[in-house]
Amino acid sequence: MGLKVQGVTKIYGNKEVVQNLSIEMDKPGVYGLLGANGAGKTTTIRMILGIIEKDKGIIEWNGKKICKENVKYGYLPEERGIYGKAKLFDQLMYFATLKGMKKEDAKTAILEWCKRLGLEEYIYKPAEQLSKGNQQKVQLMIAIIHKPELLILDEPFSGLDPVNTKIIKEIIHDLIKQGTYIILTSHQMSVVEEYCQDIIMLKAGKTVLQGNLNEIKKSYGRNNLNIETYQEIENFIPANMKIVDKKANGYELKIEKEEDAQRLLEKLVENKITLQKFELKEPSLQEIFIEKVGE
Amino acid sequence: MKDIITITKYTIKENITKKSFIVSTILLIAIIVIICNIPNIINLVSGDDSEEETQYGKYIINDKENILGEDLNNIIEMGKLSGFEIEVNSNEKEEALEEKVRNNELAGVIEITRNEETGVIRLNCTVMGNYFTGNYELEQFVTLIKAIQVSKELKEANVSQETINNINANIEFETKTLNDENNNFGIAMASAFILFFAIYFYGNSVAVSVSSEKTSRVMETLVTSTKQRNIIIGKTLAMGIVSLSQLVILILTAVVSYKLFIPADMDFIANIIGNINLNVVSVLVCFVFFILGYTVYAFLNAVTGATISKVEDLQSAQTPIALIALFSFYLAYFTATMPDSGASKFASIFPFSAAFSMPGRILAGGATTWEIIISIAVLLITAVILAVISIKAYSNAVLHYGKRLNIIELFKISKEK
Repeated sequence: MGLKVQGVTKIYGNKEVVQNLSIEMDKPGVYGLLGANGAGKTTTIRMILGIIEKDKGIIEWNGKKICKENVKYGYLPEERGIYGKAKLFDQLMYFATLKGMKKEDAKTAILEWCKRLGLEEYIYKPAEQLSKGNQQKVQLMIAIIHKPELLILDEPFSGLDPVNTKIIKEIIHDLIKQGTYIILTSHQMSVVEEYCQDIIMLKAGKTVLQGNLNEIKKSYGRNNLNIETYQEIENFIPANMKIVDKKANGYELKIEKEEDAQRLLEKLVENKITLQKFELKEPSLQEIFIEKVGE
Repeated sequence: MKDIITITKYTIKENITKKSFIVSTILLIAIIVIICNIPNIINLVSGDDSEEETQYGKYIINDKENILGEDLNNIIEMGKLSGFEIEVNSNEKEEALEEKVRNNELAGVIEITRNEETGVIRLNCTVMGNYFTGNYELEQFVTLIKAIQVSKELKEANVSQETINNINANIEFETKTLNDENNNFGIAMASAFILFFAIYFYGNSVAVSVSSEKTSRVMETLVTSTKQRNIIIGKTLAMGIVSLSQLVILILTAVVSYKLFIPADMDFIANIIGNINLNVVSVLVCFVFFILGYTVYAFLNAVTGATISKVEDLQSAQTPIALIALFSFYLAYFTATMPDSGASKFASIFPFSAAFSMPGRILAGGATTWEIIISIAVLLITAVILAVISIKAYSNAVLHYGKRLNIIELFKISKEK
């Protein structure tokens, strides 16, 4: 049940832009599709949505081909685009009808969403009168108006102010509660950490990391040591620890073994160093991303 | 099918509410009405039709040597029939008359004299030079004065008035045309001209529509809402309906304006209209050619619109289509004068020129039923083949951003896909 992408490959000329990619979502939630620019994320999304054909592999929803007839899907593209001259209501109705909604249902949904997103006053005005943030909300509305089972959000928060970010975050949380399968791409790793249980990380079309985000982080071990103190402690730091960042109120260290941190703590206590904080942490997704993709 | 109807309806609404469409329609209607009113406007500007007014203005004819005598007075009435106001033997001085000509108070002054050596009547004319009309008006005076001189001299030779009248009367002639081609090639040329503009520019609007959706990135959302095939068919259909409606409005405006405003005595227009093989079947067949011709060019334009990423690239991307269309138009236009030639028959079957050429031949009554059937069949097959190729090419190009795709690259992508 759910989304199954297995061994998918896309070749342009002699180049494999996506190689043997697999994603499996058997329950609703958010799956993070990560990678630097040009890693193959958009190609993967387009193959999943059937806009471009795959060269190898299987892409299925509940065992069937992904198409309008088999699954209700929505897509928020990275590049935003709406009809500038057309009235908001007209273009929302247009896309809702194309997505298979009946006119009456579409009208109710449009009015409800416009109210929730604070766009009521613009509903019968040309879309070009909307701010960039509001245009982005319209684009999201187009993606979710027909209550999709599968939703692909490509950089949903880029260019949004904190107020609009909060509104969109609430909507995504609601969609998760309602049982929507969501694939999310973002360069903001904090967003991915907030939503995604599972991730796949691509580099030049190849899968370089995949799995449950918590397990991935655990597998890296707690190798980040954060020490907060106003005293000079550099003389106590052993050679096998690397100072990543030195701040006014402390140090960010990279360690090899947790035992080394224990020994350092004992040494600092012995020398009567006053510590505000001594914390061992797993690596952040940002660090993992840079390590895997930035090489 | 439902999606095609949705796209068609939306595109129609989008286009007919555009200011450019409304303004261009109103402007074209106004132009048609004005053209049909040109005879009335000319009458209004040049005054009413009352007998006091003349077409060419006032002329003074002086016969100081009394060569034509009393008979010269006849020229006043004769001149009036030809549109001249004439005064004979003015007492004013030569310089004063010249000044009046210079001030446009008089159209001209004509002095009747004799050539001293030959004794032949000689006219000394004073007029303001006119590069465009030349000596046309003065040539008419030569005819009028010659007629008066002939009448006078015949009278003096005791020839009867009846004979004089017979001599002066114009010889009548009547033409019996056995072949209508000479009159009808104008219809063929005019229809080629109208259809070329309609098909080419309306087809062009499909390219504009597709390219604006692509460059504004609406396409990304659109292709995930329906199949690319539905988009291209829906758009082509919508623009076709919009174009056909505008064309019908303009034709109806022309017909109504002709009936209302063109004076009944403008025989040459009535002759042209009368020569058109106008019946329900021929009109319907012409519409079929317009629709098929439009379809062929619209599909080509849709692909062109899909290959670009920036609106400013559209014109250069359309150059190949413009060249095909222009070549086809000139082929149809120039072969219109020789409807039975092989070139004309080729033009009405060649799919890119058939829509420009064949309707003219049908309206001029010069096309056989078989030629029409073959032409429609060729156009239909071409339209279907082009539709299939265009849908494939459109699907490949529509999400390609960056450098504009050329035909070779487009086929390369198709092959890879």
